[in-house]
Amino acid sequence: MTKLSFQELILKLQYYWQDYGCAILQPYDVEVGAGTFHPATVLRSLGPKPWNVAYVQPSRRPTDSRYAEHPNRMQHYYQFQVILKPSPDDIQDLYLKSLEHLGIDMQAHDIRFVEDDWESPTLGASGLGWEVWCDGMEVSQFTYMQQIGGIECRPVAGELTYGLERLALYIQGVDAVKDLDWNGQKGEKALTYGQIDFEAEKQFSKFNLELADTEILSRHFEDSQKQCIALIKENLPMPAYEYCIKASHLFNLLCARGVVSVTERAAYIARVRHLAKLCCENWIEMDKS
Amino acid sequence: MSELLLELFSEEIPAMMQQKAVAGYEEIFAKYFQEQTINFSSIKAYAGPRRITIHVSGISSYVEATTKEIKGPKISAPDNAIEGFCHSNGISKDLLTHQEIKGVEYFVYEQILAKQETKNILQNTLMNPISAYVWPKSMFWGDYQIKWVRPLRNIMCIFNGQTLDFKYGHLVANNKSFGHRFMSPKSFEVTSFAEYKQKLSNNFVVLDQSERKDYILHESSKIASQMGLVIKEDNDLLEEVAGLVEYPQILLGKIDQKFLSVPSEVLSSSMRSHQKYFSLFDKKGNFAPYFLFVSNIAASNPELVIGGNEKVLSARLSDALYFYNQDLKTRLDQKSQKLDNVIFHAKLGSIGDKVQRVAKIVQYLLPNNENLIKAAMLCKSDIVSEVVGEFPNLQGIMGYYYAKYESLSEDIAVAIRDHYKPQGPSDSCPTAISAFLALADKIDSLCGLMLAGEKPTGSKDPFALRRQALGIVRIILENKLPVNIVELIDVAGGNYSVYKDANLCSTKQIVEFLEDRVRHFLKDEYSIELVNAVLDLEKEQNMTDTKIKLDSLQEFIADGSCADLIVAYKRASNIVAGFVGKHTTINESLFDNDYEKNLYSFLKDCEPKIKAEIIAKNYAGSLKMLAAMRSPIASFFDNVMVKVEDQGVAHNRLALLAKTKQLFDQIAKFDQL
Repeated sequence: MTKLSFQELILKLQYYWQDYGCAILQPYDVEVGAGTFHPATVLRSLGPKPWNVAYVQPSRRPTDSRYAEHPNRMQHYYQFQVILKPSPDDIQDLYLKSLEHLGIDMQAHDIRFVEDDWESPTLGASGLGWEVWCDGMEVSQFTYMQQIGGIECRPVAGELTYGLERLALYIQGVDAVKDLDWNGQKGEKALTYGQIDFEAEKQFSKFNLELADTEILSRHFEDSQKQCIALIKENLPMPAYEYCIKASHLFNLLCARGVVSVTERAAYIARVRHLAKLCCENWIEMDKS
Repeated sequence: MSELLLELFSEEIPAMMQQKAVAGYEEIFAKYFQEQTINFSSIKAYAGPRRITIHVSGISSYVEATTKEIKGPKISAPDNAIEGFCHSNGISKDLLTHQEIKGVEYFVYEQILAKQETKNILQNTLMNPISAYVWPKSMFWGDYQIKWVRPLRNIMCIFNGQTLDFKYGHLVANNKSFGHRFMSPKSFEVTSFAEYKQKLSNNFVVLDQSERKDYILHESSKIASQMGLVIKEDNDLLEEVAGLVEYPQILLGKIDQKFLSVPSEVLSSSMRSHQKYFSLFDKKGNFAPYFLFVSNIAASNPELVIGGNEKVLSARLSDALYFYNQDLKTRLDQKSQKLDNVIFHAKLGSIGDKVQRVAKIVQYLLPNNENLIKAAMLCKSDIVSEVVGEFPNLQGIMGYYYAKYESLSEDIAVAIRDHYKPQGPSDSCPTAISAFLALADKIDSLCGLMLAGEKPTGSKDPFALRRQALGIVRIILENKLPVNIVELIDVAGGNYSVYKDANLCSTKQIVEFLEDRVRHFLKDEYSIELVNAVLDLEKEQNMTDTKIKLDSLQEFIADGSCADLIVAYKRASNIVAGFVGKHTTINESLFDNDYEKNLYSFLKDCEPKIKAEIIAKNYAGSLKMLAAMRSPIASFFDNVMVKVEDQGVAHNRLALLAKTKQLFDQIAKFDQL
């Protein structure tokens, strides 16, 4: 297997899905917990119109902050997301071919689809599918979207989410994320994942776990909620949804700061879910007209 | 005779759902054939990751002509109801006949069903049993209208060697099946089950789940024994991995020595839950640095697959090692401070509150035992540890390791570990101070949750209160603890005074609930009559004594010679029924024969002795004394009429019998026997 650099891995996936006919989008420019939160998935998976896109989404999980000390758990990481609506009959084969395109030989490795149903309580979203294993390593999530914002998805979109770090660890034969070859260069120009991202990892870990001002966060949460609802009233679901994901990220930060009790947690989730629902409903309505 | 072969070819079906689907489809198809009145000799279903296959053999080619009665509305029903019935059956009213059912006259339509070819019936209705099975979760896909567990990609249906091309949703059944996803992905045509199985086998698919299971078990045991090791038995895991592969291949991987400092339970849990690997142990029970796993491909170079899996496991175990080392940085008492943030139950406060209550209960159960109190204060601390956060099934076990790490005594560590026990009927019961802690924890949960109105109803028992109650019973009985259960429930319930006032449940109801569980538990060992005769928690509040009584009474009855004594008791009991309380004074001067006098003197003599034996808990002794009364009672009944004309004498005799009965009642409810 040729040892693709991290960026080549992304480029190869982009070319592969471009050739299939996907529009290659750019990351959403707001903090999100996963590629799914991008409006290109949440809003566009709803409604009857066909939609085929692929994009990288930098994602944040403040509770996974480990000060860059853990070999493969970070508060910031990258996902490659593909949405195919309606899900084509040969979607599994298309996915497997994308792995082949990355140099993974299907005859030499043990590839498995292992049940893993996906649910996002904050988005009121759920889907059925698998995690895809390559020699025991989970390299992707494969989901048939059933519901988003409490609304049934018809037709159903297939969502493929590649865990880029995992995949790169596997392809490069490396043990720790920080040692991943980022740009494929030798000598002076060579850059590793650690060199690019791990200083931020340390600083954000300190911010997420110790310094984020919980009063400010709570206030911003309230404000985001208010803004979201106000925008819905103006029939502007896209900016409204942006404030919904801002609220979601603020809630994640509050969790990382350890100030959200179990009961409060459920209440926060319910509030974000309500916003997501309003946005999705408004989107569907606007989409029709 | 014909056979039906149906293959539902799917994207990967969740492993844990396959076994139930096999049973479900077998049942549904059997019912379907019966409803269609098609004779058959056997039905068998098979499940794997990519297919559910149903094979029915010995099917008759025709269904003979028959009539079917369809019940319509009552004769007295309004016209439109009758018209509606006719309309829905496509008939006119003159085809209806009358029939009386349970005293009411109904219209009945006798439908005549002509002789039919089985093939036609199947062609027209086979989609029904396919959709009749309800998966635990099902889904839509693409832009299609049917729902299944995962996208259904193809239906193959062969009846009597011919393709049955019925439609199900957007799919039309054909004669094609497919080989292994990677080793032989091509399709092939099929005309019979035998050919199907053979072709699957040629194309690297083992159809029968039990064959896959047997193979995995056999091969992995072989590898283990070659290494002088044994596999940790795990039938659920075996079942799951057999459902993840069509062509099982067993491979052996190594574990880096550096991880062996982590407790083996953590290693095993990580391997099992994340990776579905089997753990190996040496003959002495020490964790061996190897793992077995089941792959789905005979890879050109298995070392590559093994190497990949070793790497993944290494990353997983690095996580475990990291968490474990993090946990060792704080003591259990430091961790316990975080328990106030962990909810036990919305109405019943935090786990921190629970710990305080449990500590009070152990103080009641075994006062001033320092180790026990310490164990109580620390028993829940590991819940907030990183390892338990990752592997909730290790609660208790991790507490044990952390306690040992901070050099707490073995007693305390074991009590922390074992206080969740017994976790099921086959799990062992804790002993020594662990028993008191386990009992306190369970009685606290039981009382709190019952008082909060969470009593189990029917099959719903979300808090596993029946299991908790059974645990309480077993801990007390197996350790022979001299616990007054009613008082204990009062103590534990008293910690929740707020909810007692809410009046959702009384402590009496908790006693009744528990008594029910005790009955359920004891009837495995004793006859239900015996249990009913002895068990009464309100009266005998010490379950251990109840058990001693049961043993004594069982032995007493087994003797056989007391059968007439029980008959005599019941006779006495029947006679005095309705007179109890009215005739309690016995007047010796009204005795007019020796049988009465004799019985009375026996009673006077025995009563204090029996009471003394009961107080001394010598139930066998008290029963022996009752037995001694056999002959005076028998003589009494043989020779004395109770209901005589002289009311004074009659009442006196009734009082004598009532007193006799009372003496029996002190020991057991003999009328239950």
